Amino acid sequence: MRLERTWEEINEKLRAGSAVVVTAEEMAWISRSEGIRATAGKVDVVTTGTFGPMCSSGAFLNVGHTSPRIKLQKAWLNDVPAYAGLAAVDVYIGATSLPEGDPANSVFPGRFAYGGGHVIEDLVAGKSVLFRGEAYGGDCYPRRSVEAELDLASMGDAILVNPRNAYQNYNVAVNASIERPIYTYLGILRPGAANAGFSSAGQLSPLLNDPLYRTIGLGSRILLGGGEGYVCFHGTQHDPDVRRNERGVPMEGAGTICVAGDLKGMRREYVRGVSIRGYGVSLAVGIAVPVPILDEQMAAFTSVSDEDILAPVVDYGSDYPEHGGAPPLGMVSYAELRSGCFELRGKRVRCSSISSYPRARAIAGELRDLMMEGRFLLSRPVAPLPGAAGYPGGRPA
Amino acid sequence: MKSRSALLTFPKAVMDKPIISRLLKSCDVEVNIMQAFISPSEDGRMLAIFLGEEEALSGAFRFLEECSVAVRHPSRNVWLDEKSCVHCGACVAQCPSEALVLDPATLEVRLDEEKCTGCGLCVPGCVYGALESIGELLAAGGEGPVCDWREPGRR
Repeated sequence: MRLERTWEEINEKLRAGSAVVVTAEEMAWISRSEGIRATAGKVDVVTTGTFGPMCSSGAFLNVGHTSPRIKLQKAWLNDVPAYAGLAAVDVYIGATSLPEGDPANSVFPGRFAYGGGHVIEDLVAGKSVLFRGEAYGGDCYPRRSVEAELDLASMGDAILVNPRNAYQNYNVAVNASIERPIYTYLGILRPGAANAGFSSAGQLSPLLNDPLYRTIGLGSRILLGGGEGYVCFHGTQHDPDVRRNERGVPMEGAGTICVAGDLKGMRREYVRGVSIRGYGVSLAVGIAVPVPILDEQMAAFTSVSDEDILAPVVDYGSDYPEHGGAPPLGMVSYAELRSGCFELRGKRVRCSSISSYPRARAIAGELRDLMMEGRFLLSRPVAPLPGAAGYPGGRPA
Repeated sequence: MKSRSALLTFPKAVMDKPIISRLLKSCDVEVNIMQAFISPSEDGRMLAIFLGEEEALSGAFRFLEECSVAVRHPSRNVWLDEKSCVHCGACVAQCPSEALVLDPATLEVRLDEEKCTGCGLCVPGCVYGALESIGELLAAGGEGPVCDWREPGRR
């Protein structure tokens, strides 16, 4: 008999507290010992997770109206410029925005001690930040300037938006061509490809557990920064048409999702500003996405383990900055990457991640527990991601 | 061979004497100078790692004290702030002495203070601001609020 479950059936079980929910890491263990078919019969939902820096992040803040009113033209939070080209008191603070006067890379490699990502972390941590605004004034909005200590509770709305996150696979960076350490967003890379940097939760990563986007789509309810969020669109640079293995797993960066959530419900544990030496500031965000086991194929997809996922090794000393499209120096599995070293062209390369596997595991575990308790239900996407079955030009799933 | 880090303070009065050269000639130790701030207008400070047998190390520190150089040993070379660390492991590949390792079971970062030489290479590798080294604290112009010195002479 063919095993099938509907979204509604799974939600019924979640409500009743009788659903079986496991993390993607647990799913890989279970199906290895019990087989895909038996596991598909048992497990209703697999929770996935990821935690790592993603520069394509920021927050829309409604800082509240003043008396008299102001229509902001320029705005700063702790001296970090925010974009104010929106309605009167709406601003957007981007993760990579640097404070006025930051030395950046004028003495290389710069420290980038504080920036937009840290402002967002401070707000989530309950700290107040110094808000400054300037305006040209007018009849509706006469005020020309404002300065106030603001915290998250005192703001009208605060919405975290990641136009791109949860990258489905990514590069492994080495420095094979510059005779000094290079300072990349994947870490400090010594010459001669002595070490490598990567950033993915591998077998726990959301889109690597739903490689053909059968269940993750527009409207999927997720955990974002530890609070409730949603997938609101495909992410920027979403590219489903990359090289894939026989199981549909991409062999390089592929799909991405655009996500949003209420900053007020998030926790510092999963929203962290980062200072990347010689590169800049950014924001690390934790995300967990549930994947329903609708049938045996979804059970097979979510049973993916680090051995099955390969990533391309790219030279960040030349190929990456040149954007030349040179073929990768090699392919490496996440199992090898997780072990701390791998072999590249006969040489041992030490490697480390800039994303956190333990934190990805933790947020996937939180979502599992919420779902087991019936406190988090699945929401069925209202539209698929590009490249999914049923999408114009999409692939059959 | 043992390694021990030490913060040396050179009073202005001895600034013209080649103390480290004399030390190397008379004691069987190796010295790796991590940081040095030496100027004629103020007391000089140096952070160095000493390598040698227990007896030779004691001899070297005694020699320095006889030359009026104050010797203090930092209780730690590197501080890992558990509240800020997310256990990404980026520091691990930067650590030449394998003092920073990932626990194979939990994949969490562990710092083995016995193995740490205080080189500080891990610090710029941490993007979450969870690592501080004694060298960075000195470079920033202080001994730092978290710098808990051992009693001088207690080795």
